[in-house]
Amino acid sequence: MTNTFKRGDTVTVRLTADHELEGDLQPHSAKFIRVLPGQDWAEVQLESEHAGGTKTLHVPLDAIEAAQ
Amino acid sequence: MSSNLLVPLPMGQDVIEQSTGTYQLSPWIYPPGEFWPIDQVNYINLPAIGANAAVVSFQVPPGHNGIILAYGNNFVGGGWTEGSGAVTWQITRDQAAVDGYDAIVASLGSPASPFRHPSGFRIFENQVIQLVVFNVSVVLAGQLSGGRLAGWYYPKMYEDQNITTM
Repeated sequence: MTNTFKRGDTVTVRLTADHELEGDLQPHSAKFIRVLPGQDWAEVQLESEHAGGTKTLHVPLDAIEAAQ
Repeated sequence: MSSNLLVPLPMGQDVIEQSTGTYQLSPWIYPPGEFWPIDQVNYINLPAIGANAAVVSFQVPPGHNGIILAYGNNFVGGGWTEGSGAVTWQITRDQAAVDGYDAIVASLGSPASPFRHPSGFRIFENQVIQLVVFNVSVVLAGQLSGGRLAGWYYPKMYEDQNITTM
């Protein structure tokens, strides 16, 4: 998948409430940080902190959409 | 010092008898005849974000101490890059990190080709030895983490009785 996002872009990441890829997907608002080597995954920073205490997530690019 | 001390002995010979007394070779350097190999290898599914899981776990058997000389940990799948800290590993003795292996941010060798430490780290009777993976921030997509710890146990009777365990 070709990345079209730039650092700082507001994006929507579709994940479950537990931040997994399969199940009841919900939109999570985030800032795009960077594409990871391999070009299939990216680092994003969530607006809301995850239960584990992290705001930074590594997610597949195809789970990221431009914010409406 | 006798030159004998620098040369490994023939298999099965663990003690050098000299005119000055008996010399016992360090069993964590030269395995005695009664040594017992350690080679624990395993893969697990990456745990959820914020969780950790033991990749390799075993207990040192009663009456034995040992040495871990080779280790490996790796990541299979997408979403992690070397050094990013998004996934970290830890090697522990009784849940306390071995010095220098508290928050490993790299793959130190694949289980198929583990890294050979120059001296290794020692393990002691009844300790639980673990290689633990911690998922800091990688969304799950079927990734695996692998690990391997290898070395040997030796009977405690060969140990310096004054040693303090770590």
